[in-house]
Amino acid sequence: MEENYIATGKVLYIFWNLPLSSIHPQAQVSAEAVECAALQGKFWPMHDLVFRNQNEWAGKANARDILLGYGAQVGLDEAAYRACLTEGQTTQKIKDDAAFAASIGVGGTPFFVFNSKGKLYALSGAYPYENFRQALDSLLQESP
Amino acid sequence: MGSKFLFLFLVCGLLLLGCTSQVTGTPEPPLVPAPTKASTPIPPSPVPTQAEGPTATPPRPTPPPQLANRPQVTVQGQLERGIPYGVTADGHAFKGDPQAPILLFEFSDYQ
Repeated sequence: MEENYIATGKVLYIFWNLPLSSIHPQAQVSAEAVECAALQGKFWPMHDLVFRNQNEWAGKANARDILLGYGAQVGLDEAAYRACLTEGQTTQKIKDDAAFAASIGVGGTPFFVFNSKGKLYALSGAYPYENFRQALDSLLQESP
Repeated sequence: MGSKFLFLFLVCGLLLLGCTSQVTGTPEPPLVPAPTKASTPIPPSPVPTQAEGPTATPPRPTPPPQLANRPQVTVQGQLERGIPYGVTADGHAFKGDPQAPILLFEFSDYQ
């Protein structure tokens, strides 16, 4: 999707946090880690790294320490990153995102909202690329 | 003789009752294959939007402006393939052309 729709200027992709802490114990801290990287302009590298290495930290008691180790890999100022994560500087932001999601009835992940000329469409769940292609192509036909 | 008949009658009756209850008991739910995700029509359901004039359906809530309006953005740089990235005014990471015709919001966690 990135190649065909984002890189081609057809889609602006915006990320909201929705950690499902009741079933994913490390979801909150991982979201906080990525948002701490975002404070240094490194959201996407950290986002990709945390997703890619899920098996490394998910379900681990020392997930925070593992996530702290990712700072160097994406070129963060490690002291600032550590302080951010340790002091919970992004905790409230994640909670605010989750509260907003709850306020509009979003309770599961992933959840997608398409905005085409102000009209909103929802898609709940992990769908294959083909579904997104069909949805986006049909919406693009409406918004030349 | 009469008591034998009565005994046999009761045994047969109990056997029949047992068979009947097996047949008429609560049936198992039918094994209907779940629809595959690939066959689900897209987009499947609109997010609640402003009611459009008088209709038989109840009015829907106003769509949240955070999703309905194009966000103000600050571009911070470019990713691979020259994709712009940055942050919206309300603090959300984005990638893509800020003027792209479609906005796609993802609510996600990492686990």
